[in-house]
Amino acid sequence: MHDIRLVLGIWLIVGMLDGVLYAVLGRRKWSWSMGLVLHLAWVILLWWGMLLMGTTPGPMVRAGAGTLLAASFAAGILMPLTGESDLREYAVLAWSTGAFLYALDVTDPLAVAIMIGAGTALIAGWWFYRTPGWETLRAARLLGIAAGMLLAVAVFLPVQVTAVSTKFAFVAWLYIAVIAILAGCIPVQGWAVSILHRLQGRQLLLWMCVMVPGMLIVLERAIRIEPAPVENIILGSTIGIGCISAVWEGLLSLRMTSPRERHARLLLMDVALMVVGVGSGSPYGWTGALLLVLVHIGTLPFVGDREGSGSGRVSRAAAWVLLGGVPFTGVFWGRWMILLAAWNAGSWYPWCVCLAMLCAAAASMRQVRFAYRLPGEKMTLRSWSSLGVLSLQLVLGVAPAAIGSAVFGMTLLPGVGH
Amino acid sequence: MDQTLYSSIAFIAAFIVSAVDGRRAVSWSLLAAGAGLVGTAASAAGLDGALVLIGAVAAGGILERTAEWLVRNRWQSSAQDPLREFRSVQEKLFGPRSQRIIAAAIAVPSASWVSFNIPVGSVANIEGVLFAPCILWLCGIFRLVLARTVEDVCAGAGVLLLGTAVGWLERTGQGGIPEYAVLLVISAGIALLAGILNGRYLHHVDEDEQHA
Repeated sequence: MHDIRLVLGIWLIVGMLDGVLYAVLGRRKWSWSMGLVLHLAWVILLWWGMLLMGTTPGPMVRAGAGTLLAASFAAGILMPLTGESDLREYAVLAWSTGAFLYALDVTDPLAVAIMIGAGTALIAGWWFYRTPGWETLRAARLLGIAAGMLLAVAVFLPVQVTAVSTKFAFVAWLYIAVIAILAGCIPVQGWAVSILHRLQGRQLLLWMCVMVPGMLIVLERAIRIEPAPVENIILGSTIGIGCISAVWEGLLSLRMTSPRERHARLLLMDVALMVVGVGSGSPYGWTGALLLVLVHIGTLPFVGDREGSGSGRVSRAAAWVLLGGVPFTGVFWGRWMILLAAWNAGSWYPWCVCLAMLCAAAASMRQVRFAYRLPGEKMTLRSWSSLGVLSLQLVLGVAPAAIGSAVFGMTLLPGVGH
Repeated sequence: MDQTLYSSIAFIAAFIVSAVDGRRAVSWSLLAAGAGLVGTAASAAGLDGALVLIGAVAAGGILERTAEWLVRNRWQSSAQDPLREFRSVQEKLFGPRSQRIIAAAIAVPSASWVSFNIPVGSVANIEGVLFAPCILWLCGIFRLVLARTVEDVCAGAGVLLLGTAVGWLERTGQGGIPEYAVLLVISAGIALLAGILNGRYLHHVDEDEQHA
């Protein structure tokens, strides 16, 4: 297997098979297990195929594709754990992941825009289908606007560059707007906040597994724009937006009272930190962002007191401690890498990242103290089983990152990797 | 024919796109946008560009009607009304259509600025040839921004894709027809989706009437 387009093709076929199986099996209770088996089998096969793949152009391709595969693997396992699932969810996961994998591979800006637009449209359409309401319609509107702007970028993006002009400022502005919308950064974070409040854990898995990596892909494309002044405008603006958003969401997470609202704000804070990390252009930033994606996939369905979350109080409390960034956990390393990247970028950025990290720690401690304290409660069988679920989260969150480091060359520690 | 005429047709098309409402909003807005862009497509890529655009718009209209008819009569399914407004509408001075028309009026100077200041491909910026795709792209975006129903979202996305497709043709000329065709096929696919959604809802309505 030497071409990632083959990966995409196989993934699309998996999605179609899921759809056909759904048509044949109907809504039988066990039908989702067919989708799970199919999905996991293909991910493992593709992972093996990617190991055989030769050197591909671009610094992001292998690490990004590895992360997408790992995220998809984790999402496939976690979906049935978070409530009733069906085959169509696996089809949406397969098609949207395939679209983003293709966007990762191609350099033609129109193909990137079409594929990212198709992936986001699928996810937004599925959200609306499962939870029709104003929040999901608003998300579809905003994501449609982002896809439209990305298409406009493809039209206006210069083929050959000789000097900086109004055109570059226009393209840079469009790129920044797209990144702000997709990442749910200030001032267009409203859609993401309402979606994170409304949707169930397994629907949000699609956001964290596919859409957030997709946003990172867009940012990666933006970084490649020449000449340097334009690149600096885009990077400076995105890091600035990311820093302000991270601090804003971190401070708001302190004020929130319900676990779901607090979790939503912390998630958006970490996505803003990912923007900072990737926008810095440093390999540390990339690694930190990808690590945060993977760790959040592990914790997403279980915290925030969502309906259908399969974990108990002890497990949730432990997950909140993890989200606070306790040293040497996946979240800590992710944020630490981003801090290093922000430090390299200079200016006021590292101070914002530090402030956001402190806010996250304080918010998670508050959550544990007020919502999950266990006065005199004994460890019941349910609590122990919940701890088992948490261990699974940690394994799903951290193991793919470790594998990614070994297989795809992601930098986990300074001096290790590339 | 000169650009002034194309721009004038696009200007009228933009207001039609913003004004259409109801169950046929997607196909009418695609038709209006197609009429507004066909001249620009012909000037950018000759007869091929114009024919592909006409074909896609016609296919969109036919697919929407056919899908609606098929789903309404053949499939046992039901769904929500794509025309259902999810946001509570209060008594306001300007309704949704008026807001879209005001947005279209704002789109005119914006499109004009882009067409005279942002050159695309080999096209010289003084000609203002980008006015037609730009104004329709902006109308699509504004339709999305102000969307309250699923039908609005589909109409906005379809028009936005038509505007982008013709903009791409301006950038690449005849060599970009395959990508241009892909964008047009997606816009026809959106019309098909709107037809399916309408058919599912109307099937449900028919069943209710039969039971009554």
